[in-house]
Amino acid sequence: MIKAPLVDYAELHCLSNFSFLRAASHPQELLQQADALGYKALALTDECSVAGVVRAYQHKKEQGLNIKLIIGSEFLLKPQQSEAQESVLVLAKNRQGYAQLCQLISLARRRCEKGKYQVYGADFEDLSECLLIWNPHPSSISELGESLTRQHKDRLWVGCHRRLSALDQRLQLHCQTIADHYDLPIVALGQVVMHSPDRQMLHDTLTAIRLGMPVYACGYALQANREHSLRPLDKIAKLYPPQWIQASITIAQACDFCLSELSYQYPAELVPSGYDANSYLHHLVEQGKRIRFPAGVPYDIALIIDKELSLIASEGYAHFFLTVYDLVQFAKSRQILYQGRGSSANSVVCYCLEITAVDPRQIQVLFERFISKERAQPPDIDVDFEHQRREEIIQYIYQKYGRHRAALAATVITYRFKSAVREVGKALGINLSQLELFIKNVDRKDSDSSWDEQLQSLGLNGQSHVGQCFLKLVDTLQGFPRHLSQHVGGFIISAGPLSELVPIENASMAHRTVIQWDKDDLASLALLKVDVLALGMLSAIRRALHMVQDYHGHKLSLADITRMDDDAKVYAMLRQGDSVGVFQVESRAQMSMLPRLQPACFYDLVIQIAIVRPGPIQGDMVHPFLRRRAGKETIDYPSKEVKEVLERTLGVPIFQEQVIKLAMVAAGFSGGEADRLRRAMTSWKRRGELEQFRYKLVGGMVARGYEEAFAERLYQQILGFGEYGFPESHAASFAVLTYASAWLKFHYPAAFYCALLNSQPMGFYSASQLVQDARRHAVQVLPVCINRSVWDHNLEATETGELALRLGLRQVKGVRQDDLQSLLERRPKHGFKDLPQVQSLQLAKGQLECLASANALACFSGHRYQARWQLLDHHQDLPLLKEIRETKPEQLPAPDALDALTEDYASLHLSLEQHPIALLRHAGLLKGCLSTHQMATKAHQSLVTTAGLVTGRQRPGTASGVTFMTLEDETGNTNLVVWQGTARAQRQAYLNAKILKVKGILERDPDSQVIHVIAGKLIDCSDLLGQLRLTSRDFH
Amino acid sequence: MQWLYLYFPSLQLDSLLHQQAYHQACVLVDKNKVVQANPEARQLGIKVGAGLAQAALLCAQLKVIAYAPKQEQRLLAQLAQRLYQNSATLYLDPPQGLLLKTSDMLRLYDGLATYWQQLQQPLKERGLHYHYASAHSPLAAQVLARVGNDRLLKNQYEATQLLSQLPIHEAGLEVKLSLQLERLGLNTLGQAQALPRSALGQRLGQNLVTYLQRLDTPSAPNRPAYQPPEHFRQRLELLYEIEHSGALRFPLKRLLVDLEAFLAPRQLRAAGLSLGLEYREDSSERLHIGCSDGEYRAEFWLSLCMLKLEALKLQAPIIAISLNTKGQMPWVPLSAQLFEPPGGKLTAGQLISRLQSKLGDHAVQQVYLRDDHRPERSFYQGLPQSNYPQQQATRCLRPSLLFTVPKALDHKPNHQWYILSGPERIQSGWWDNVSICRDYFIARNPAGQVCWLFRTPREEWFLHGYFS
Repeated sequence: MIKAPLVDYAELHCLSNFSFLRAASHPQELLQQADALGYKALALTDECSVAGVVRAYQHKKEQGLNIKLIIGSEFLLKPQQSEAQESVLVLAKNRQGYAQLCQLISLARRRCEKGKYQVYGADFEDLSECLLIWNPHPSSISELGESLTRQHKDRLWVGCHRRLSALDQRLQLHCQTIADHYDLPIVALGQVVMHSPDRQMLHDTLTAIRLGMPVYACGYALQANREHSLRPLDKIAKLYPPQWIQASITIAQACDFCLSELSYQYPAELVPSGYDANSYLHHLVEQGKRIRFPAGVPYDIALIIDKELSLIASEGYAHFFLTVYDLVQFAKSRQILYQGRGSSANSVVCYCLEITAVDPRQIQVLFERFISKERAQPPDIDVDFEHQRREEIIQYIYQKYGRHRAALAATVITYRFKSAVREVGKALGINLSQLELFIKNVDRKDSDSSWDEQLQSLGLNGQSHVGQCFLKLVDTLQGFPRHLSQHVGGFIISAGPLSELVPIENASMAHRTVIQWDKDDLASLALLKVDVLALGMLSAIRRALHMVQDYHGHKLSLADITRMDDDAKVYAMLRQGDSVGVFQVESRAQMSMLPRLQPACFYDLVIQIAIVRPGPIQGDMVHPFLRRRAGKETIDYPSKEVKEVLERTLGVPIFQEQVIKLAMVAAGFSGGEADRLRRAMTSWKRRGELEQFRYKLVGGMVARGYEEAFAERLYQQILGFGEYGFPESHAASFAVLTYASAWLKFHYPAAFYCALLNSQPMGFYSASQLVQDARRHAVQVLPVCINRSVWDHNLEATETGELALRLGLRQVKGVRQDDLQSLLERRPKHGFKDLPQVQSLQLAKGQLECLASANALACFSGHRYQARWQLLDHHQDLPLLKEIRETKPEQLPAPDALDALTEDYASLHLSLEQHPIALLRHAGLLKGCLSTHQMATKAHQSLVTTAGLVTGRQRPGTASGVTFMTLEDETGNTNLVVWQGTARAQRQAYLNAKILKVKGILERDPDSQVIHVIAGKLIDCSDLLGQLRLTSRDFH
Repeated sequence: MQWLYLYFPSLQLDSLLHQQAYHQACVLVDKNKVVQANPEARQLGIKVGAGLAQAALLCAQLKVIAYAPKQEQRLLAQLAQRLYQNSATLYLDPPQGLLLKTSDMLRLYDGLATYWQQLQQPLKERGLHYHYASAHSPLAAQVLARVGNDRLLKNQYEATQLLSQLPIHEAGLEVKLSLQLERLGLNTLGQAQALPRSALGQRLGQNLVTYLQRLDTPSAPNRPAYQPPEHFRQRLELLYEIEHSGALRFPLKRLLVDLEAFLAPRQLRAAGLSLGLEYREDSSERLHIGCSDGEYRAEFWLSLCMLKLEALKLQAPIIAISLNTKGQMPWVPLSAQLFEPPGGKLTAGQLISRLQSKLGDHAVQQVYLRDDHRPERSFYQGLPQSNYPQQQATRCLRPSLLFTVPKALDHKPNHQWYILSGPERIQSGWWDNVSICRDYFIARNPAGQVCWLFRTPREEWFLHGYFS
């Protein structure tokens, strides 16, 4: 056979997996393969989408590929139908053509609900700077040809593909006829849906998922062969006439648009006339200085401000800061509490602009480290707002800039392990119950056996053909995009219409639109975004500050609290591990670390927040840090540069920034390389990308005279750090809220707990746990009462003049705010006098019964059962019957202590009566069990028996095989450590117990005196309380 | 005590496990909740009502089967059919209960104890777990049986006592109603009964009053009693997929024993059986086994069926079997049949069955199309079915004569062959491990025949068919 001469060819019809369920390769894989095969260009033409192009573009840049990337899109005229049909490919010729393409996509997408689109022939009119390829219907002729030819005569081709089907010849003739008829040239297309023929199996599976039936039943919906892949050039040369192939090159050469041309202009309306962006920013900072530093700006800080401003000016970021400033000013005017964080948020400029409350005098954060010229990365500011009021901010943005200029970034939802198992399993015809069992049983945190080994131990036959296909497909499908969803709060705002920059489509939430790129895509193209996030703690702090003002007359802001000097008493409280409700340090792990880390100043909190994280724990940084902090270990730095980076954390890398900086100063990474390292760190577990940096990192350090052992240790630490590394800039902003909440807890406990309760659900603890903690802090808690409570929890002055916490009606299960609000409005000044008076208000059915069960009607005398019984008699509501009341109502049995407790938990989720464990203890049912309080005096290693309500089961990813359980009794909480062996042997008690009795060994940390119990024997005592309806927070 | 209630808490699971003697933890699951669990699973702490995740944590090797309400209903009906032999009046109480009127049967059986003994036999044979109770009213019997009373109570007083101590949430009331009662501190049935009915009705609705009345009402339920079907029809879901026809003996025998129990008391014989085999992949086939003289004994039918099955190669693993009679006749000797007049015009169906009975079932076949790119798999032969929907054939050109096995050509087609079209590449079929990779051509051979040829990647050539 004569070898065909190599030809120049460009593939102009290629779908990636961003054409969901239609194609079986990532955009990067397609570009890489096309380059390897020697294609001149590849057009990525996903179906009505450009969601995958940035990934391909980034890959081309990183790998230095020669191939040209053309941006385009495929439009089916009847996207809802699955049979062969007409389609049009639109390729961007230049920047303007790209804008036209984006607008066409937006138009087609905005017409339909999320994930769908619709185009009509007329939509193709405004594409003067695009090239079009028309794929006619394989067997008939439509009118579309007429209009396309009329509008785009010199920019239109007829596309023809050959996939070695029996119908090839017919199609070829058909295309030729059409081309002759309209006098159009023909171009060769590959209709590529996978980069390699090997993906056929996956492609068939995706088809099955799309059709919702098993592969074996898909029949002719599957591809007959593997010709829809990128094929070698010699094969292309054999398949198509030379002039068709040449046409692909002609088109590719005419397309001359690159994503790097996209630049971004900030909205101009933020700058008042008479100013430019920089001078206006200067002006605002000057104003801010007077607010933030009423006594005058210290000299060193003034220097930093100047430096920051000149850097902002030289990089052209002034608009960005102004945009964020505008948002927080709006929030301020609405009294919505907020706090900025992120790489630039902790600059002094942001402090002056009131974007953050991190006082620069408390923390030596150098702004330069965050915006730097060499890293070429846009500044990053996220702003957290009160969780219940963030929507107001979002609506403000839409209102101010309009929907055509502001949109949310997308989040690409990908196939994860569970969804991949489920979908692949269904496609292979494995029965559903079996799949659910697989999914429920596989422990992804188990480091001993991989998921495929675990599946096989669950009964999947890995040797069978189906089993092998299943494992391979699940592995490949993971990470494939499924659909676009909206990012939690990443906004992109532009000067001109956004749809000329990137297509916009509808989100599933009504009135929300998202762009087709996610935040990594935006970062790759250096486009700026503002993150508008929600944070529950901000709601709680704002509420507490309001109450402090209302009841104590002190008007305080976040910045007022941080501006006061560090309060030693607040730190003393934290050092005791007394941190229920305190932001970021209230978890079990944080709580037990507080007495060890002994925080004494603001920066200690920053470290505390960052160090008790999976990253530093897995990277084994906690223990060295503790030893050095306690002065038990000497610190030596291999060089001056390293010392500079690590000194503030005693030589142990704790923050993400430190790792990046180390790579730069010690291993000679360039800014761009360091940035790639940062990205790789956040996703290395998924992709294993970190390996490629090992040589550069270790080699670079050895070449600079560092010991190999040191370099290797650093690399291992980075691996451990992985995706959990926490940036210092975020920790610093969080620490402000940690300190503020701790300060409130210490100085104004009643207001603090009250605010936390009103902000539920949030944080780590239930209302019941918060109330118990409040009472342990000498806060008097008063029961729900129809005559005293309002909707929210509230403060109430007692006879002694102290402030007590009055539970609000909101705590009562089953009541509606509207109904009760109307009851409160009609409540007489001195309260209702009896039940009939309340009944006469004719509240919605059931509302009063709920109040009765919560014992909120106790003020009318009679117990809750009786009150409920009386309320249920609906005949009494009728005015006529009022007079003929039953003379002697039935007497119902009064509740005993357990009944009252049961009712409390059932209707309030908490009780101010005796604790259930106390009830059992007094009844003599827990003989020999120590209370949490009693255990505090027991010696290390003593054998103890205790019992409590199980309020938490936690299995952290960092500690393999250990479960931490929290047992609550009337005196406090006990931490229980259950080793895997113990749990396995006593599964039933371990998993099912609501009340658990434990025999174990008490351990006490010599330095911090922190106590925990290593569980030995577990006994399920749930039956003791009958059917107390408590739920514990489980890990599954 | 005129009513007896039988409650089968794990009806579907028991019947599944019994036929194949399974002794590991196994549960039935509905919407990710455990609805039935065998003793082995309960031993491990898996409770009915627990989530699948919880159950899976308690036992990693748990066997999980989907709950099938329809199937359970069928099982209940089958059970009723069997118990009908011993009980004249019984009522189905789906999904898991049977109510039997005992008062009619006591004289026949000389007392409740003997009667009960008779009833237990078929339950034990089927390996069913059950609870029971006898009481003065249908509802009282039902409530007591459901809480596992498992006693034949002597008098109404005893039953009333037990009921009044019953926790309210076990009384079989709607969940909402029983919660409402609990929230009034009425924790036992007795506490509720002690209150005036009118006061209760006013507050908690008429349903509660009706319930309390029904507890005391001895009359029969307000619905027709069970009537046995006129024809035998049963289906059996298999716990394991069966791949060899020999392994069908045990489950089949169970069906045939039931058949015998159905026919014998009615003095009937079956002239033929239709045995349905349901394959895993949504297909099924039916075998017809005939015995013109009629027969009712299980042993006889079993040997006949097994003979038939031996000759059969299973298309795929079997997940269920079913059995129904084809023609039942009374137990009288036949002689007239010899002289029956010959048939006149035959319909297609009649012709087919005539042919089948002469030549054997499998001698008459129909061709069906199947959606599959692979030519060998794009059609199949099966027993004739009159109402089978025709699949659409591929739009590609296919020969009218296709060889079952392609014939290898000695050498590649030379210049005397004329290629009319091709190649058409077919590369598909990874999922059932019968992948093919072929380039097909339509070509005229030197003899002028239009052939369908293909070439394999190893350059081997085959002739696969002729175009007409």
